[in-house]
Formats: sequence, structure tokens, C-alpha cells
Amino acid sequence: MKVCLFCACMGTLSSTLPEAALREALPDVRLIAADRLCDAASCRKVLESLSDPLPPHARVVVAACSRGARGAQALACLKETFPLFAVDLADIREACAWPSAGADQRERVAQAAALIRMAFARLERSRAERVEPESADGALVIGGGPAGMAAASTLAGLGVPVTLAERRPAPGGMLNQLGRLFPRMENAADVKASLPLDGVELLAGSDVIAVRRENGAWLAEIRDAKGVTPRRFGAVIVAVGAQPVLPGGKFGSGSLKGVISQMELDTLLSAVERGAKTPDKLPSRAVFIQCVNARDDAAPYCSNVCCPTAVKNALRLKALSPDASVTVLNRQMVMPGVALEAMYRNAMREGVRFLHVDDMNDVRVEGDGTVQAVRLPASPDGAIETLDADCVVCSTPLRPTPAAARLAESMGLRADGMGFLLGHEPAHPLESDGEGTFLCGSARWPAFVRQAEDQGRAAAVMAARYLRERRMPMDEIPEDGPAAFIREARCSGCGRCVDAWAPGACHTAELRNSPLDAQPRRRCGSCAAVCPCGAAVLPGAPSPREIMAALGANPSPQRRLA
Amino acid sequence: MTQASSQGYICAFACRWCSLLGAERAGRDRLELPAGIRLIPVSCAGSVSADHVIQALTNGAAGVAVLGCHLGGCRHNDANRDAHARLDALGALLETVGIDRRRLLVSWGTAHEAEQYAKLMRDFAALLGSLPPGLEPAPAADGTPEKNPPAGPDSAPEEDAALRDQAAEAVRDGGAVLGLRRTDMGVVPALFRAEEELTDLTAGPKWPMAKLAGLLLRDRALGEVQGVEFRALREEAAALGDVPLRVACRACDARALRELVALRQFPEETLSILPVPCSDARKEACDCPRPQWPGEELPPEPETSGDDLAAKAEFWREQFSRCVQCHWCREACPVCVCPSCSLDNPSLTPLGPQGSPLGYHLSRAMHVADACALCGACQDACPRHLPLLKLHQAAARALRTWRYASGEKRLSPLRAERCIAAASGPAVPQWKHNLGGK
Amino acid sequence: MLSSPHLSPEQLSPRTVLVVGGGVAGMQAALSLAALGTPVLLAERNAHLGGQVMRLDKVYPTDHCAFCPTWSMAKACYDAPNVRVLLHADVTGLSTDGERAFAAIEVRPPAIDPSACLFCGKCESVCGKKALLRRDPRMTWDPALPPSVRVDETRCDGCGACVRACPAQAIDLRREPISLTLPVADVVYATGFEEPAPGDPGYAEEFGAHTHPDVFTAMEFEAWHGESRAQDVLRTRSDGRPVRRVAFVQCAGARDARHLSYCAAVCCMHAMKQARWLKRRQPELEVTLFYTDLRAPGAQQETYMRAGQREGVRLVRSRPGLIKESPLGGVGVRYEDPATGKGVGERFDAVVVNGGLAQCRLPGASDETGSPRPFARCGFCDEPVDVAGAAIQGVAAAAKLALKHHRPEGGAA
Repeated sequence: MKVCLFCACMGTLSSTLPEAALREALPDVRLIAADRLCDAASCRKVLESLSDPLPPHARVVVAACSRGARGAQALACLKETFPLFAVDLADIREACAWPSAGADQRERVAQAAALIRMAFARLERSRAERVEPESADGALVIGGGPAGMAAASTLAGLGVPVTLAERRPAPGGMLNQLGRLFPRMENAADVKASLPLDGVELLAGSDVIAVRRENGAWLAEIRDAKGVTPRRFGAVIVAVGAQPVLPGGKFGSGSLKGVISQMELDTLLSAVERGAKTPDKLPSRAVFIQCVNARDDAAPYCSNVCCPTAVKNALRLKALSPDASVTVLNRQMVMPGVALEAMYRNAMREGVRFLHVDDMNDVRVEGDGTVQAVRLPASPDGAIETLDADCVVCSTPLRPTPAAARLAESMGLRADGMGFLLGHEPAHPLESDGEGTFLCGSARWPAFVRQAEDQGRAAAVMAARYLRERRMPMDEIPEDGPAAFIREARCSGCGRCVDAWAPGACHTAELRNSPLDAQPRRRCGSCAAVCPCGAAVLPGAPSPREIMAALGANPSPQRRLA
Repeated sequence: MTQASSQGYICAFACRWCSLLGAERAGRDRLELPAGIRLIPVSCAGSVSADHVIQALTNGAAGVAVLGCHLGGCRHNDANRDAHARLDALGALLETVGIDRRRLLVSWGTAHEAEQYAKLMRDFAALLGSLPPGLEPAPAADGTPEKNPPAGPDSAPEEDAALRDQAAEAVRDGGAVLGLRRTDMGVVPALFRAEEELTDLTAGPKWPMAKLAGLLLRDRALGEVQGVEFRALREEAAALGDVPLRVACRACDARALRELVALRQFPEETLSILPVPCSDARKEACDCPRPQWPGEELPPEPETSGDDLAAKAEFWREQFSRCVQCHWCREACPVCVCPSCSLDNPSLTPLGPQGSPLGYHLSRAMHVADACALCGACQDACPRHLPLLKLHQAAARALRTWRYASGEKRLSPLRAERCIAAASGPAVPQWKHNLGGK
Repeated sequence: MLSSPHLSPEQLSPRTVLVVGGGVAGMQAALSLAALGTPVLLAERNAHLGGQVMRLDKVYPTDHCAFCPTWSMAKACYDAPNVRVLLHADVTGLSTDGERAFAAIEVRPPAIDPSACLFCGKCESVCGKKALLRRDPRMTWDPALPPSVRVDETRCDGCGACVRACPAQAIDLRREPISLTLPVADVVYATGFEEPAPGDPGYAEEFGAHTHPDVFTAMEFEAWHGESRAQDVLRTRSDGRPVRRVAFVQCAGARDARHLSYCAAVCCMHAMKQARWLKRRQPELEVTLFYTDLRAPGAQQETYMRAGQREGVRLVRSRPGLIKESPLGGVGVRYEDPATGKGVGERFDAVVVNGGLAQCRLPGASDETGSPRPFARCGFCDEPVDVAGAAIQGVAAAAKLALKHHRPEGGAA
């Protein structure tokens, strides 16, 4: 039974599209005119007050304003009464009555009738379809640094079964190596203690070799001392971190005594702060060189953490030996925000000297076995300054770990030119291309511990949400939710749909027998558009068949191609 | 019903994230729009398939507009670029059958741009109004098929002998050969296991061997025989177990079989070919563009001008009027692999007197465009000898302009992302006709 | 779900969390909390969700339109059954009894009730003062859902013709502000940032913002040069000459003890984005960017900056001291040439002063003694961040709250 609820819109619509004319144009449709169908209460009242109530199997089209106006609300009101696949909206206000206000009324009515018939044709083809993907409930967090720990800890707190795989014997990552953290100078050990792993299945000393999509879930091959174990997970959080680049002979590192990396200085300062005995004594005339092997053509990126680390260590050095001189040679001090800028100013107040150098390659470190001086490039007036130094600290960037590349390959994640994993910037930066896969921490880009923690927590919430939405019936999945699927019986397995997605999102072997996984941000319907068999379906969006039916709804009598 | 405009309506597919909102806002701002725009919300311009456009054009739409987000602004990993490539290929195909490709408009705009949308639609309507009426759809033909198509020149004895020598070698190594057997009834496909059987093996006239070999190799990959076509022979082949199988076929069949590998029907290593060379007489008789084994180039694109459109339209109208809608072209096509064909959907291809073959043929050409080996099996199978290869050549040529050719190792068929130079980045967008102005 | 301005405490679940501010951070916090099973009250000062990002044309580093991701987040908030969106709502203060917090919220319902307006335009046609607007005049696109006509109070003379003309009885020109006191279980601040107001004297004097039509703030410039601009070729706001030279002045009012002592973190990239789009649309424009430290940390940003330089954006490491109308026409910028150390003056057709993005205040975030209350903050109001950072922080703030309020038997996940 075809029922059209025509929203008169307080006369706004009925003045240009008279009800009687519309009724005449749609003889096979039961047309009910009403007002305020977009309001739940009045819509209910309209339906209840009908002398002849609508049968539950009725196909209902509400002819009203556009989705972007109140049409979506009217549709939502009707969905309270009718099943999702039995109601649709025909926009006859923004798409007909208003733009053709100047046209002949007969044409306008014909256009509105055509739009309503198209909606009915769509409904003819629409049916409730759902697939129950076989899915695993648990989440796997790869990498036990601050991001991974925060993610695992949050997931456990939310009651999601979670497994944390860490390559090293104990989790902690950078938190085990660093003494104090900028900008608040808290102890790394305290931060680590604030991320409890109660309820987390911890696989320490375990390497995740590869993660593949199989039958609606991720199959992770986890290697530990005993061998390789395959495990299934519903969601994966990639938190494999980054690793420091070494100065690699630049500025006399390796050949001159006293040329160290920022990480080595950090370790030395931590030891002295703890009161431990150290073989090296604190430098008294330190020169920090920023952007060593960074922001050049080989590594055209800023590592984000080096400037704050340098300022932090300069402040720590000044606190431990107030007479020490510290000079920071920099191209730009990248200290954005409130806390970092305050730290930067504090360092200047404490007497740390910041010198701008356009090109670090013009800086020369001089010495004979041991560092003695640092020669700066000539200033505009030709003067050359030489800094007396007993220690040169090279700030090097972070680069992606081999694990990131391996996972990107096996999971089909995108990476940028440097190998950092890419999310969907800027609004969904932690969601990757892989189904149910989230990124956090320095695997995406070097992050401070605090940023990494936040990213870990956020990724955990997204994973928890994903696992929940995945179990929802198809028609309750939100517009941006997961899942497109393949009607098995129609699928030839040709893989055009897979190709239309980013490669790796799903795998051919599973095509014939299981749902095709959509990516959270893809969901474009390209799979359905390139599928010649009509097997790919995107729930929530009009299917190609529905659209086809709609297009065929008003064949012109002469059937002429233009 | 009354047509809203004498030219027919405009069917506008609009991405619900941007263009649809722009279009709705144009309505809300009461901007002047041409009458009779049927706005169809889609989840993304990437979801608009060639079938949709063909269906609209064969159902009285004067023009079809596909409106998506700005290039570089698509929220679905640049799916709008995919649509661009796909629809460009379709545009070329439309032109081949005499439909002005400017009737298909592809444009990028956002929710902000209501006025730009209104102007674009007004211009489009004006353009459609200025175009001469296109192709009258051909009435469906009735009556019986003409006699079976001639099989073309038969093979010479020395060709058969050369083939038998090679086959003998394969059989001696314990393998089996799929080839043609000469019988009193003409040639039939058969499996050859023993050397003595090979006396009947022939290069034969042209026969759609790829279709059969594809089914057979797919059975092997799946480990079971699915479907009814050539059932007896396929069961015989299944009984062979792991015995290596070689397919005696022509270059065109081999191309098609490689396409089937790309379509993941069977693994590449199970494909082993016994080449059957084409004689000069054969090459002469075939429209095959690449009869040579490593053969390459497509024939050059014929020069077209606006006037040609009418002639082409007339040519194809005449051709399609002879189509009996038997769909043998589809059945013979080696790369048609779907278990159930969406062209059997009666709303797309109504059969009988009210059906127009145009939509069916265009849709079919687009479905296989990225996999077509240009083997000509469709046109050989046609009882009315429609020159169907011309359609496929046009589609293949169009894909070539997107730097895609069948047979190449593909990332994704009909997908533009890797075709458009990756460096293109975000474009400075404007609502404009992106296909027609070529 | 859009909430009516008359919200009573009984309508709210005792577990409701108040999110102050409906920008990207606030929306993400609200959506995540709601997805984890916590009811949310999302209070937004403006007529629509989306915050400052909704006013952007493009976002770095992907150059994607800002509108669609933000709008779909806003739509998700309106659609979510356990997010109550309270628009036109100012959170004025907060008191606690240890267990719960009580939020004082002032709602200024607009003259035209958006839940009733049909957008039919009858009011427009009867208004003699042209006081009815179809959209926020600061924006080229009205993201309000559902769309509603607004009354421009500076023009309206209160004649009441529109009230009588409205078929939906949606207009009441004398709506009074409503003061609500609502109990909430917890609070998340996501109030974002604001640009200096036109009245800010120090800012105007030194940087010329709001004193000359061709001196823009960053957000003004975004609307003026963006996609939906009416002009194909940029013309000056003062006298309509074609624009040839544009300057971006960074750290104008930021990293400066007299104004904002901190770095707003997003302006360098924002300026470079605008510069690149200027060059893309009109390659012949000369674009100069005066900076102190070019701060582009984060994914793909260094590459973005390099691409900008390759495309011909001129970078000058200098901090202009004076921006003023030039007697020879255009806007004069005085700065110290970094190569020679000498003062130089240059004229530009348009100058964009970037940087003075002030963190919004957090009403009730500290008690009477001034010590901070333990409520979560996210987005720019906590620490200057870009869109991606705000999105992450919003979800992270939700995670912290969800853990705090998670009851294992409730099965939040």
C-alpha cells in the first residue's frame, strides 16, 4: 500500500502545490495532507487521528522539505512507527516548490509527483538486510609505551577485553628511559604508575609480526620466546612509537669526546638527579645543536619533541649546576602553546642563551680529541663568534620504527613519505584506513608523553565504541558507522570492490564467504558502484538497485533518449 | 505524464555531504533554477555508477549531473576522483553511440556554493536545450535469429600439425590439454590425455575457448564444479585431479584468461597456455586489434566531429534495432564472471517489445570495460552480427586516456586515484562542466 | 537532540555531564561520552554547533574543506538521543556541594524560535527595516540545523509585522533570557578561543586591526578570501582596487607580555594555509609572511611549509613594529630587515594580523578562593591546539570522565 504524507507546511507548500492537484497526479497513492510532520508529537497525532489507520506493511513517503531543513526530523518521527525500510522522504520544497515557484503550476505538480514516485520506487526495492559478521570482541594494543599503556588502561577500565603486546621485557617505553617530563617536570616513573594495567592481558617480550584481516576480524601473529601464536581481535590500536635518529658522525659525534646526543644528556641528568654516581661529570659549558639530521631534504619534518626536550634539559642542567653556561643553537625554537612558551621564557630568565642559526651546516665543532669550541657562521656584519664548549649536545629527530612499516604493510595502513602512519586528518586523526584500527602516540608523529597519553585514551574510546557499534543491528548503525557488505550469493569474487577501497582493507580470500569490511571513513559506496554483480551493499545509503528503480519510476511515454 | 521541460528532465546525483546541501540551499534561497531537476542524494559521488547514468539517460533524462565535493575535499578517500574516471570512460562510450557526452556533467562544489550551483544548472539546462535531439531508441526487434554466424576460416593442416606436436610433448609429460576436437559435426572442445587422441586436435576456426577454460580453471581453484555450463566436460576435467592442464588457445583467449587471473578467478600459476597462432586469413576475418601474441596497440581513435554524432546515432539505432535481446554476447564473454547478472534486473533492461537494447549494451560494455580483452567473443556469438567490438574498443580507449589498460597489473579497475597524477593535490575548485569541455 | 531553552532539572539524568562549548573538542567529548553511555548536556553560546572551525574555509594540513567534517559532527550531536544540545546558552558559573555540581546557565532564546521556524520567508517580505537575516552575517553558510531566520536586533524597530505574518507563530520579539540552574555530575570545559574584540585598544593601535578595512584578523580574512567569496579577483575592502600584495603578520599580539604571553600554536600554519590558497587561486599575487619562529610541528606540517615556499610565498623573519594606513595608499608595514638589520617600510593591499587568539575563560573553573576545581578541560581553552589536537583531546577528556564514572555493572563499553 502506497501512502504519501504530504506536509502542507502551514500553507507554505500547499499554496504552490495544491493538495487536490497532487492527489490527481498520483491516483494510485493514498495522499494524507497534514501539518508539522517534523514534530514528533504532532506527527504521532496525525497518524493516530486517521479514520482508516495505516497497515503496518504500508510503504510511506513523506513529501516535505529537504533533509537539511526538517525532512530528516519528519523521517525520524515516522521511523518510530514504521520499519526503517518502509519510509522515505521526497523533498518537494527545496527541490521543487521553491526553485520552480515561477513555473507553471502543472509542471510544478508533475515534478513533485515524479519526485514522490521516485521515492516509492526506491522503497519497492528497499528491504531490511543485515549480516551478522563473525567478530572477535577483544582489542589488541601493539606497543607498551605511554600511548599504548594509556590505551590499554582505558580499555580495561571501560570493561573491554584487552591485550597489550610489548616487544621489550617490560612496558613503559620512553617512560623507562626519561627522567623528567616537560613541561611540568613530573617524574616519568610517577606517570607510569598512573597508568595501571589491571585487567590487561600483558604480553611482555612479545613481538607482533603481522596482523591480517580474516573473516571479519584481525588475526595477529604474536611471537614470544615459545614461538608464534595466532590470536583474533576485533580492534587493533597501533602504538608502536618511534625511535631516535643518531647524530651519525655529524658535529664530531663518535670521534670527539664530549659530543653526545640529547638522550645521553637526559640519562646523565637523571642519574645525577637521583644522586647516583656517574662516570661523566656534568658539562660546564654546553652547546646544544638543534635540528641535527632533521628538517633537511632527507628528513623533511620537524620532530616536535626536540626543542622542548632541549629546553627541559637546559633547565635541569642549570638547576643542578647554576654556573654552567648553556647555549642552544636553533633554527626556530618550536615551543607552541602556553606551557611550552612559559618554559622557554623561564629558560631565558635562567640565563640559557638561544642563538638563531639559519643553516646548521655552517656550524663547526672544534677540538682535538675532546670538544673545545663551537664556531658559529658569520653574522650579517661579518663577525664570527666562537663559543667555548666542553660539551656539544646534538638534538636528533625521531623516526618510525620498523614495526610501523611491517604493520602498515600487513594491515594496509597508509604511511607518509617518512613512514609515519596516517590517520584521517584533521577531524579523525586517530582513525586509520584499516577497519577497526586506531593509531596513537609517536607512530603517527613524534608526540610528547602527555600528548601520547591523550591519544592513547582517545584511541581506546574509539576502539570501544567501534566494537560496540559493530555488534549493532545494521539499521541502528549511525550514518558514519562501520560496515558495507557483500551478498554472498551474487559475488563473483572479482575483487573490484576491494580495489575501489584502499588496498589491504579487506582481503580477497574472504570475499566470497563473508562480509566485506568497510573502513570507517570510506563508506562512499564506490564498492557498490564498481560491482557489476550488484553484490556490494552499503547499508544506510540508497543501494544502486534502489536508485535504479527510482530512475525508472517515471519513464517518459515517448522513451526517447533526449 | 507531462514533461517538466520539452527537453526532458535533468537528473542530478548530489553528494549528501556537500553538493546536496548547496543544492538545497539554492532552493531555500529561492534562486532561479531550471524546471525539472530531479535531485538524487547519494552517499558520495563515488557511488554513482555508469549504470545509474545509463538508466537515467534511457528513461527520458535529457542530461545527468554528478555533483561531488571538491577534488581533494572528499571525506571518503578521494572517491570523487574515482567517479571522475569512471564517468569519463562512460562519456567516451556515449559519444561512440552518438550521444553527446556533454549530456553528462561532472562537477565539484560545496555546501557554501548555492549560487554557483544555480548558475551551473541554468547553464546546463541551456546547453541541453541547444543540443539536437539525440538517439531515438531502436524498437526491439522481433522474429528469429539469423543463421548462426560463420565461424570464419578454418585452420590449415600444417597449423594443426604444429599444434599437435606441441600438445604431444605436454601429454607425454603426463599433462592434459584442453583444445578443440574435430568431429563430423564440426569442432567441439575436448580434453586430450593420450598421444593417440591428438590426431583429432585442431587449431580449428575461432572458438570462445577462454570462456570454457576460465570456468575449468576456476573449478580447480575452488575444488568443486559450480554452475551448469559445459558441465560434462568440467566434471571430466575435475576428475583429472592435480594433473597439469594446458589450454590450447589463441592470443585473444590468452588475454582474456590473464584478465581472469586479475579478477581473482584462479591463481596465475595454474594457467598454462599452448599458443595457437592465427593465420593471415584468420587475422583478416577478425576485428581483433591485437592478433599478435605480444600484440599491443589499439587502433587509432577515429576522428570525430559534432556532425559525426548524428551519423553515429543513426548507425547504432539501425544496429540496435536488429538486437533480439538474446544476451548471447554476455554468455559468450569470457570475463563476465558474476554468478547472477545485474543486467537481468528488469527495471534496467526490460525485455520484450518495450525494452530498448541500448541501455543493456552500454551497461554491459561498462561492466567489463576494465577487464575486456577485446577478444570479440561477444560479436562472434551475436546472431545478428552487431559490431559490438566497436563499443568495447571505445571504452578501452577511454580508459587508456586514464593510463589504464586491461592486462596490466592493476591496483583497482576504473579507479582514477592512481591514474590522475598523485601530485595533483587539492584543486582550485569551481562548479564547471568537467567532462564535456574536452 | 536539540533541547528546548526551558530545561528543568527533572529532565536531566543525575549522571548528566555538562560540556561547555560546542566546538570540535566539545562535540567530540559529548559524542564519545554519549557513545559510552553517559548522558550529556552540551551548552553552546552561538546559534549553531561547530565553533570556530565552522567558520574556516579549509583546514591544514590536508587542505580539506573544514565544513563537512565539522558539520557531520554537529549533525551527529543533534541526532544522538542522549546528547542534549542547548544553544544560545552561556554558562555563567558553577557551584558544587561536593557530590554534584550546579551549573548556572543563561539562555538567550532568539526572537525566532528555531524549532518552529519554517524558513518560509513571509517575515522577510513584510519587514520594512530588512531586519531579518537568513544566516549568521559573519558566515557565508548557515550551519544551523534546522535552518531558521534570525532577527538583526540592530535594525529591528519592534513593529511586530513579522510576528503577525509568521504562519508558525515562531516569532516573539520580546523573549527574556532564561536563567537555569541545573545539577550535573561532572563538567568538561571546551570553550575554545576568541579573537580580540574590535574595541581592544592596544591591539588596534599597534596592529591596526579593526581600524582600517584592509587590515584583517585571521578569521575575518578566512571568510573574505574563502571558497564562497563572491569575487573572482580579490579587491580591497577600502576602495575596491584589485589586490596585488598581501602580508601576513605573525605573533601580532601573541608572545608579547603586553597582550598574550603565549604562542597560539596554530597561527603559523593557518597563515601559510591562507597564503597557499591565495597563491592557488590567484598565482600572480605577491604574498609575504612575517614570522618570529615558524612553528609547524606535527604531521605533514613541515612539508606543507616547504611547499608554500616553493609556491612562492615569501617568508621574512621579522616582527613588524607598526601597521598603519600609508599616505601613499594601501597599508604600510614597518619592519626590521633581517639581512641588514635596518628598518624598512613596505606597502600592501591587504594585511592579515595573526596571533591574538585568546583562550576563552572557563566559568566556574575555580572556586571563590581562586583554586582550580577538578574539572576536565580540552581543546584550545586548555592548551592551544589545532583541529586534530582538539578532536583528540575531546575524546581523551571523555575517556578520563568515563573511567571516573564507569560502573562495572553498567557495562559502558
